[in-house]
Amino acid sequence: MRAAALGDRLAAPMTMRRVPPDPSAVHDLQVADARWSAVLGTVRDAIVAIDRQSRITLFNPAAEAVFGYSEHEVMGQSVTLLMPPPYGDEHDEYVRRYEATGEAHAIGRIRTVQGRRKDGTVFPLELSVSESRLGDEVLYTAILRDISERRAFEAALRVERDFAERLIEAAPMIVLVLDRGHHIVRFNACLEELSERRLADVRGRNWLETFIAERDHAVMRALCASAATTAPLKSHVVGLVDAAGGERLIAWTCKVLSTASGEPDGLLCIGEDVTNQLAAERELRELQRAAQERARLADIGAITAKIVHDLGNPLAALSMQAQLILRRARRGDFQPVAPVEGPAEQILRTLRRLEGLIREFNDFARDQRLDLRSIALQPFLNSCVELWQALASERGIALTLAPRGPLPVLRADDVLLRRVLDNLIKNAIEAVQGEPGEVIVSIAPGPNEGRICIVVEDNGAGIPDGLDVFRLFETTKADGTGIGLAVAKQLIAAHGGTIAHAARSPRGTRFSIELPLDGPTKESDDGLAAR
Amino acid sequence: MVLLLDDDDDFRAALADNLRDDGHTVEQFGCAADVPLLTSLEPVSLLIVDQQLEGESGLEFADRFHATHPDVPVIMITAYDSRHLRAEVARRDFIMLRRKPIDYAEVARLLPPRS
Repeated sequence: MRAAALGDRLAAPMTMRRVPPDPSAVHDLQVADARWSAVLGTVRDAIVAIDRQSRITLFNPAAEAVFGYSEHEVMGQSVTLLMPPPYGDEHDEYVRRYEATGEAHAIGRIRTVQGRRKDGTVFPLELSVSESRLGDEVLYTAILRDISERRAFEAALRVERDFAERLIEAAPMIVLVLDRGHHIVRFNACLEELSERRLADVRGRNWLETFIAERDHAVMRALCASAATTAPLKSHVVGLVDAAGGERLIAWTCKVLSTASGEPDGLLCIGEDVTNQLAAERELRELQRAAQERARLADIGAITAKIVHDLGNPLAALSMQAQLILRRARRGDFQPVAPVEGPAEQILRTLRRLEGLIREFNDFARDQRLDLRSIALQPFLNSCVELWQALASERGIALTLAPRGPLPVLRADDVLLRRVLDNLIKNAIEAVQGEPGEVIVSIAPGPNEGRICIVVEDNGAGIPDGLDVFRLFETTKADGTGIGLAVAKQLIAAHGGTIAHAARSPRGTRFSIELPLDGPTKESDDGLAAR
Repeated sequence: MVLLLDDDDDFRAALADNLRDDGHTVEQFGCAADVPLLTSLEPVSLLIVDQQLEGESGLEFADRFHATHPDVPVIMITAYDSRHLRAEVARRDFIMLRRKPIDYAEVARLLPPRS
């Protein structure tokens, strides 16, 4: 179907005058008409023209395809036929107002409106309207583009984009985008939550200064720089600082973002919060280490028990023989006495030293099952301190028990706890060199209720950094066995407590034993029950 | 007479020498099974017994000995003292526990004056 010739309608007023047409003008008009018809017939946009009464005077093939009406069905009909309510009513009102006031609603703009097809379906279309006047005649020409497909495409795109957006936001990982200067462009909810910062507050800021612990800046710069190379660095664990100054450990991986043409356009940083994972791994390692240590100590304990026993007997025989020689010498069996008495005494002194060593090994090998009693701390600590008072004053050291209110009752094995305190006080006295030396035993409340802290401090030489004095056979003393504190640690652990030391200012060491007042719980006791 | 039980020959011999030097008579054995019938023994003034013996333990022997000799003190010696042993000894007021090596002077204090 051919579009109605535009010339027929445009020329209508002229033909009414019935003036014989100029043949060349008629030819020109026919050429223009043919061109116009070709345009109307091939253009993909629907073109609909109406007169002042809104009657359709032009309806091109594309309009027929869009609306589903044939040209002859709609010619002369009101254009509101093509509009769903309430557009139809509004349309008439717009035209009336425009005619009266010249106030244009649609003319000269592109608007998105709704159209109605013959089958009643309503669809979105883009509308532009132009106006032409020829004398009193007014012709409104509308170019209409069916945008329902575009709309559907846009909607699909939006769904897709929303989905991607939701994925990024829901991801349990940090997604952070930086520009080429490493300023923050955007990040997801994960980072927002971890850092306690909102994107709006930090957008455009340098990301290292905003998020990364200062000590890790160099590492992260290296990681970012390597992202652009062929062999990017594997992920790094660095500290993420939140708004409150807290820190989480994040494993970061960075990737360069490129523009469509391949130019680097920024950096994508993916981060995983590994704080809990690392803590769990550390805890596991610590447990394994403790288990190994326990097994090691148990082995050493068994070996030590054997050695103590096997050494004890010949040592006892030697000692008895030396005592016999000495007694005989003093009784006058040998003349002169001195050449025999001196060496015999020397043998006994040496044996006593050996005996001291064996006694320490014996302490370690000894069965360490707890025998819990209620211990009144005040008299208990008093007696511990009194035992060492003589040695302390012999060395010019002030050994004191710092008074502190009424002391609580502690549930513990008094023999074993005494052994620990003896060890700490003896060590403290031996650590002090030169005067005025001081050793102070005191009591402090524990970090939480139900626990108590016994402190032994000295102003002695201190413990070198990096030395684990609680490890078996580690010692700072030239003639020490390195057993005492290893045993102390075991005994305190068996009580469900902890023992630690710290440097004391300006010099010296402070050992603190933290114990539960009610004694060990089942688990901590089990540790040694197995031995 | 001092009754001496210890499975370590060197120690037992040295202790016996000390005792004899002091004028005491000594009956010494390496294990409880070698000791004759307790009621047939000469008067005993002191029992020195090692805890770890082949067969009957020092503690078992001490109990048996105490039944027939309730007034005689006992020195129990051991190379390796355990809490269990100390607890057992603590329940028997006739036993004094000493760890090897022992001081002869302590033994001498429990003996009657030299003959």
